[in-house]
Amino acid sequence: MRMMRPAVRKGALAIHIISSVGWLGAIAGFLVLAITGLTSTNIQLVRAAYVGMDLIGWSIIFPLSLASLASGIIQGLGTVWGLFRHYWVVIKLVITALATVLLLVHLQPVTAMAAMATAADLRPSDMNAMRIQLVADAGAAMLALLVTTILSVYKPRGLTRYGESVSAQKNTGAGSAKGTSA
Amino acid sequence: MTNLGSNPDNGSTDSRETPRHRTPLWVKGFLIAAAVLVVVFAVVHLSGGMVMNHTP
Repeated sequence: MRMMRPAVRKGALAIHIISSVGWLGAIAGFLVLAITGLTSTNIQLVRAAYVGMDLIGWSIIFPLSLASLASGIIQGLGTVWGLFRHYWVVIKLVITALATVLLLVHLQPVTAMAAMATAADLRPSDMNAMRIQLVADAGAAMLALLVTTILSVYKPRGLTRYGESVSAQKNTGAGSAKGTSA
Repeated sequence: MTNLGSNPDNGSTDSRETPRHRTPLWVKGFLIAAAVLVVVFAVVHLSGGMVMNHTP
C-alpha cells in the first residue's frame, strides 16, 4: 500500500484517536452501569442500568470498536509504521481485534439482561453470576483499552522479524542507490 | 562520492550477515502477563466461578 499524504494521514490518525478514546470512555460508562446493576438495591435504577448498557453497547461501543480497528489497520498500512513491523503495533492489533470479537459475543447477554429487566423486576439475587460477569467483562475491556492507549503513546522499541527484514531491504536498496549515484 | 561500504576483498562480511533476532524484554514480559491472565480466566471459568454460557 502506498504511503498516505500528510493531510490524509493526519485525518486518518484523528479518526483513529477519536474512535479509540471514545471507545475507552464509553467502556468506562458501561463499567459504572454494570457495577450499579450489580450493587444497587433500587429496582428502578437496576432496570435503567441494564437498559442503558444495552443502548450504549450497541449504539456507541460496538461501532466505535469497529471504527478503531479499521482506522488502526489503515494507519498501519498507510504509514511507515506498517502493520507487522513493530511489536507494539502487532500487540495493539491483536488486542483490538480480540476485544472487538469478545465484545460482539458479550453484548448478547447484555441484551438479554435488558429484556429481562424491562419485562420484570430484577431482585438483587436474580442472575447474580451474569451480573458479576458483566462487571468483569467491562473491567477486562477497560484494562485492554488502557494497555493499547499506553502502547500508542510510548511506542516501545522493537522490530519483529518481518520488520527487520523490511528494514534490511530498505537499507540495502538505499545503499545500492547511493552506490549508483556515486 | 565514493561508496564506503564493506569491501569483500578484505574478508569483511559485516553487512552481509543478518543479526540474530532478539525479542525485546518488554514483549516477553507482556506475553507472560497475558498468558497468566488467560490461565486465570480459564481457571475461573472452569471452576464455575462465572456463568459458562452467554445467555441467561
